[in-house]
Amino acid sequence: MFKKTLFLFLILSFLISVPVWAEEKIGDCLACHQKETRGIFQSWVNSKHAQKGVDCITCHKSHDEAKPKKSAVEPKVCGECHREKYDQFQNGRHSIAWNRMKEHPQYQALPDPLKKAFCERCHTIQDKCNSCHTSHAFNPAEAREPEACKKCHTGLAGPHDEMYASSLHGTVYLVDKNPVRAPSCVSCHMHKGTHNISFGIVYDSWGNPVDKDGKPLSKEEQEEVRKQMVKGVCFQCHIKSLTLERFELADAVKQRAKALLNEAEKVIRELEQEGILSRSAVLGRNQLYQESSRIEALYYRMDHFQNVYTWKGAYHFSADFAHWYGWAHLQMSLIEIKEEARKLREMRKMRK
Amino acid sequence: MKSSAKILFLIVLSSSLMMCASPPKKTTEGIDPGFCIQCHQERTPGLFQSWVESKHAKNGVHCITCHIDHQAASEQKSMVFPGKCGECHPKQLGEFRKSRHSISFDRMRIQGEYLAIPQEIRAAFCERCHSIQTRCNSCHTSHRFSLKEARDPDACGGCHLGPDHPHKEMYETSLHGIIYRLTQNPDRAPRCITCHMPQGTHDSSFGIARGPAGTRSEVVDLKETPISKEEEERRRKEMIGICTGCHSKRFAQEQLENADLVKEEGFKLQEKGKEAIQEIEKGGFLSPSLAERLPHPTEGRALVLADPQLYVGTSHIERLFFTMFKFHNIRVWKSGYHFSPSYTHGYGWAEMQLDLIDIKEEANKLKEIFGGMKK
Repeated sequence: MFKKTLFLFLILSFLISVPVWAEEKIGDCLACHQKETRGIFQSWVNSKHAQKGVDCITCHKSHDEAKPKKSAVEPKVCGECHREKYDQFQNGRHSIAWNRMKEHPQYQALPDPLKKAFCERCHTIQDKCNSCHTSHAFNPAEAREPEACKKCHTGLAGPHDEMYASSLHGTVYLVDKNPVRAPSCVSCHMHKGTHNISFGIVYDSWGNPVDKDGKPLSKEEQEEVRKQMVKGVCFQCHIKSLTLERFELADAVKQRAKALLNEAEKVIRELEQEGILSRSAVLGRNQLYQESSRIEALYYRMDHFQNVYTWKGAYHFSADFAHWYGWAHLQMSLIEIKEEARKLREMRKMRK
Repeated sequence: MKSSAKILFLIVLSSSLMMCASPPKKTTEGIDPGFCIQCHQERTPGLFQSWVESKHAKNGVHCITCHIDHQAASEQKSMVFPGKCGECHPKQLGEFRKSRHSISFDRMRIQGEYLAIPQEIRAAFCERCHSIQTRCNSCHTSHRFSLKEARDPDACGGCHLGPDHPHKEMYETSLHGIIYRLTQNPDRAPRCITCHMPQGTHDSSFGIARGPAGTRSEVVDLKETPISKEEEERRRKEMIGICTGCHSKRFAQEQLENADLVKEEGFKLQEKGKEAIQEIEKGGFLSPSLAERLPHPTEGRALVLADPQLYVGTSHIERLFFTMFKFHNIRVWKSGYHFSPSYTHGYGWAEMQLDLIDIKEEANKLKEIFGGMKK
């Protein structure tokens, strides 16, 4: 009874003194959530947030406000305290991940439940600081580990984790866990803790030299961006001549891979002109992996998978990815595309 | 007499020029490492810090000991060759030179596959791993040169992985690899070096009684000549000596002999794929035909099936066989010896059988579709 009175008294005094936001107190949340969501509670208790008095209400505002949002907290709320990180984040491509996904024809072609289970799980990073700083520990040490990036940057379409893990950088880091010995993902891509993950990156996912908003970068701008990476990061361990040589080598690999794609595209365009394909082919960036001819599907694998392994593998210094998963498979796909074209032509002759 | 005087004069002249050009502080033994450190501590802090923590630093092995001087280092892009490391580590160098690691760059350079890759991008692919012939720091990475690191399976895994030789993946899916990963204790289960570099030998070919690179069945020595039956048995005995650390001799022998039989079956299946393609070639159905394509860099205008077959510029049916022999047969037989049932069966044997179906179907289609043309 006494407790209840005290509680009401405290609430009333809060309502009077800070009438705008203090309708609820941390005690209200904990009374239930300590039991009902023990895992979350325990993570928060051990977090730096808890030590500094950042509690449920600070981020979730109130029970009524949290509920319709399914407890999501947007980056701008985090930005109230972490202003610098928030601003840096806005300069990187993570901050447009959701918008870019929504525009993409492959996303639009998926049934809703699949959209949710596939694309949206990773592309939410645009609105979720806790993609990397997972709730409710928000532990920087965890977010800095390559494993934190791996959740999204893995698998067929972007095996960055696999490329890194099979490079000498990744090998040494995985054994020593010492970022002075060898770089982790954040050493290069979030240099000195910047949250602009586009730091030092010249190309977008399609290999085009553009800025975050898709505006092409001039030759000078490209060099400037690369210089940030090379001078800021690589020179900590490598000499200038060797570093520049490595990047130029990766540039050459990228161009050679592009030439193979062009050769394959030419084969398909010729078929198109001869009227052998039933409709005009969408190849490359906006291509879908469904309901196309087989020869287009072969090109899809080249463009979306094998080409990416070749050029991104080269910039991540993974010989295995660049060569065997990438280049060798590009060459084998080209053989298959040419053979498919030959058969399609011959079969048309037979029908006549 | 006259020419040797000339050479002496040139040496004196060039060394005095070098002294004028670079003003390093010289001690009686050479350049003072302090001279290097004053810049490199700031310019390459990662490299410097790794060295500081190394055993080299504790034992007084510094920049100059290995890199000689700034100009020499600059000219060879700071590379230090095994001969140099061998001045202090002669036993390891001697052992290394008995291993296939020590001929890996030379072997790569005469491979058709390597020669078929555009010259300017070879360094991004093959050369990165095959440089082990001239680089002790492939495994003992600069500038920490840590033994703990070099002994870890991940150190081998940087090269020994992927479609063409997934040693890392085979090991990780074997009971050996699983127990080691869980316990990190080499007394509980072997890691790569337990079997391949026992007692720290740098002859990584120790105890290996089967063909190189996994694409041929015969066993050869460093000069690529087949080894005798006796030598083969001696090597097998060497390896069984490792197994008996945990297993009975009879059990170890049985397991390896079973792997021998698995290997034979893999190569037999591969032959069936070959036969189907040879028939197609005789029928004139290959496109591009042998005459229409670029000649093989080492074999000329021949139908090359299995090593040293190329993945570039061939017909589709040959490309199907490439996958069968290069990616799948190697899983069958090498995973047999690494005791990974998922690799030897699922990724290996089953895939080979599926490849064979594809090859036969392709052969039928070629005859059906282009058969009329040939009549």
